[in-house]
Amino acid sequence: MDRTSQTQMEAWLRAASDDADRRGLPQLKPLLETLARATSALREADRAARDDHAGSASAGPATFGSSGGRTETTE
Amino acid sequence: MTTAADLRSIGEVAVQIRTGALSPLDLTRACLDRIDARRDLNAFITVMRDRALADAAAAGRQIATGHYRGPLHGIPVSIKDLIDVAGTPTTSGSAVPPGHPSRDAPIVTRLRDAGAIVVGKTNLHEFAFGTTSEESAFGPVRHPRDPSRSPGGSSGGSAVALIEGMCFASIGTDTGGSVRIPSAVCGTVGLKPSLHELPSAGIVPLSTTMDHPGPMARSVADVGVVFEALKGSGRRPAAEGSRPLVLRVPEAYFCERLEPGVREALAAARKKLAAEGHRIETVTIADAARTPDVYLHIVLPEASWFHAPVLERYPDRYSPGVRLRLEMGRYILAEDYVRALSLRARLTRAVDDALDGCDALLLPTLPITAPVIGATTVDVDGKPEPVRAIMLRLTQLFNITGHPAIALPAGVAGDGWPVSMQLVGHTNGTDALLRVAARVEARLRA
Repeated sequence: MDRTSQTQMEAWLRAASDDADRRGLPQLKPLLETLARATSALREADRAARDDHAGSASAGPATFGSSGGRTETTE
Repeated sequence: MTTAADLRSIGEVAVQIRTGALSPLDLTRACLDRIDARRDLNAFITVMRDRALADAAAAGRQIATGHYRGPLHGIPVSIKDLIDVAGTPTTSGSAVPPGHPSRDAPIVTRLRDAGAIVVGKTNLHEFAFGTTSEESAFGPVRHPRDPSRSPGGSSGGSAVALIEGMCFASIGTDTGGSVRIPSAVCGTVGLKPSLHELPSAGIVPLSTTMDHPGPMARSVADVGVVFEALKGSGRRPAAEGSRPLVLRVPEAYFCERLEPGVREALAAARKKLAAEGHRIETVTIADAARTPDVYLHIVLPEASWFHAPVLERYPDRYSPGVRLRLEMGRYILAEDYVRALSLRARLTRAVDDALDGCDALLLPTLPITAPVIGATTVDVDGKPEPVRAIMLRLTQLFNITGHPAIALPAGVAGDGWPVSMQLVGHTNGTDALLRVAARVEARLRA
């Protein structure tokens, strides 16, 4: 995560935690920390997917990664 | 003590009912007695004894006068208490004021049209928002093999009802694995059809875009019979084929964190199927590791949206854990919800790619066996994992993508607890998936 994104996420978490305190739900704060990590990961995935899509826009619909990644072994 | 007679298949008893060798009334009475005998398991919230006996008596008269409707006629079934059944409260396993429906949900109507007898409403994880069925205003559902363990969830009461002979099929709902997870923990069969294949009207939503109602039973054949009724098709499931199957195992992510017994069962399943001439390949589902993040950012805001008015009014009537998860959803930004929806489309294409050219994906349903009630973490390969996250790990992707998936028994771990394999089929290919599952089940049970 770049510095700007990290700062945004920290600000979001601070505001959300303050709100949880204000609403009398301090037990929500650990869950909000978990959520913040998940949201950061989601945003990174979104960014990667957009980059991928931009790089292969002429090659049809974007997919995660470089390919379906199939490795075939027969048992 | 449950006997083999309590656990017969729908196919077996349907023949006896059709020929008059067994009366729906006797069969229904036996199921109701089983429910009464094991109230300690908290499998049922509402038992519909009088209505069920009246319906069974009526079914017996219809059959005796030549009006046999098909393989579900006179068969006792149960309904997860998230689904409307006219004249009974829909509690959702919650202390929040229940709904009082005057009409059956369409899928219940279809079951009744097929002649099924509804014996009651099963217990669940409150509002289907959990994987253990322990957060319920009606007490935790307990696993019959060891009451200190969970039968899985959220449709935990349905799975317990099946292994205790309290009914022959049950209807559950599956938003992240809630049909397949309890099926895995209890050693039964659970089908999550394709997204929107069955109507969701009359069912309390958890996630309006990922909820799937689905049948649970003791065999693939029984699940197939119920699924046909739920579709309202009136058809019998098509016969299985005989050509070798092509199955793909998504190893990355899906096979990384497994209890040893589950890992051994997967290896044994691959070996057995390959020995029968089926082709077993491996495949990578691109960016499957993003699944929990995408899932969380869809299920939380959708659940919070639905519950917002009731949560405002009755916050203290929710179980603490369920309430906190609903509260968490209120902090998700709209743009992150839309991000998740965008990534959902990409994950769907990734699963389509993985399925291209094969019959189904083969993977475990659940990385662990029955968790202890009240546990927040479970050890997997020497590492503590949050119970909820590890239980959703292998199932939730297919709620995001909408592909049909079925859980079926694959033997037991060294400690005797059931282990389950999952097959995932092509979108809108549920009938084909059931045919594949029947062949895999036959091999795994051999």
